[in-house]
Amino acid sequence: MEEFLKTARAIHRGVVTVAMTILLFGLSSDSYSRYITALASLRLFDEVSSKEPDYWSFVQSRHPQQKQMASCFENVSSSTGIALSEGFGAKIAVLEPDVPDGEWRDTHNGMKRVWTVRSLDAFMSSPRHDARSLELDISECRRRIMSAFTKIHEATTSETGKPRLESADVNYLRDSAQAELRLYFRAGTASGTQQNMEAEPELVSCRAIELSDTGFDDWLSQREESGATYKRLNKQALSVGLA
Amino acid sequence: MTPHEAAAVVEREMKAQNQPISFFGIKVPRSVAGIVAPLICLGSLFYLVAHVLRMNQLLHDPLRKEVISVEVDTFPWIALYPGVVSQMATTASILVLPVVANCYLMFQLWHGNSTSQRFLGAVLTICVLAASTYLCRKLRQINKGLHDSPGPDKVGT
Repeated sequence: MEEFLKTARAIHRGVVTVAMTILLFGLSSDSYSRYITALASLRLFDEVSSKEPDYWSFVQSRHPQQKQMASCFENVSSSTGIALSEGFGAKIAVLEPDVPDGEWRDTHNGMKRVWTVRSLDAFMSSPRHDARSLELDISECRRRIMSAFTKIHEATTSETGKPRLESADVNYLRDSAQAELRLYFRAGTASGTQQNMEAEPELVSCRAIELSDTGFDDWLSQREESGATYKRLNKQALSVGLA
Repeated sequence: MTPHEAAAVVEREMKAQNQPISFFGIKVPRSVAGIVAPLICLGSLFYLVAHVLRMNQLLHDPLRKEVISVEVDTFPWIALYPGVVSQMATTASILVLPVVANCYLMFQLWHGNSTSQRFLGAVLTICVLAASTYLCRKLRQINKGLHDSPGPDKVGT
């Protein structure tokens, strides 16, 4: 009987050991997901900045690791920033110029503006930010943003005289498969190679685009009908960019 | 630090984090930990349930009951000790810890897992809860039977 009881006691210890191992593993998984988010944001920045270094700002995050790594991006001039946060999955949102006390350096339209984010954590968890973010797979976010931005940019720079895409903001809207895309254009010149740096880029705000349908085409048609200056844009390329 | 260097640092950290988890010397990839962890936990609990049920059976055997009761009563295992503290410790180690650990792991891996992995993980965690609860009840019954009834040395006094 003693051997029997010893075995039972040993199994009891085994149960505790297994449970403790699982618990420790669960605790370590937290930092693991942070690394994934950090890496995704770094790659996003790297990918975008290598193609269009003037368009995108550095990537900031709420986590200390990322903040530290993001510090090397401070001197990158840009008009748009992407913030990634980590809750369950990754959230992506576009930081706006009215961020109070930020640390962003921006040379949009040739003017250097410095935003100092007093507390990025507070900003990221603010109701305004939260309402504009949607939990999405980070790689999918990146794919969509890159696809849209690259194709739109290619479409607007390949021919002379076209308005040139200056920057783009993409916001994913919570609880819907929609995105808000804000495009900033500069008027094209005769050569198509020089930009009018004095003029304010025109903001083309496109709200609630279905990421997979042709809503963007309809929206663009309406804008063309209204005689907007960017009507020469390649409509097809724009919609492809969002597909 | 350049972005490339920073990426290299994160990659290195991720690789370090990707080391397989070890259960009793068996290395399990992290990707399947959400299923394997509750499965191993459940296996250990079933093994313990089998032993406890056999112990209960022996304690109810009229021929061996008295001798076994003395042995069980004096054996140094917290699950058989009388008193609230030992009962709480037993409940914590058999019920609370495994369930909390598995739930927390599921919670952490929820978004990284596929739907089938989530479903299987949730079912296994519920099974862990059921097995743990049953085990606790059985051990409490045994404990009560050992300490509430008069022992063989007390009979006739």
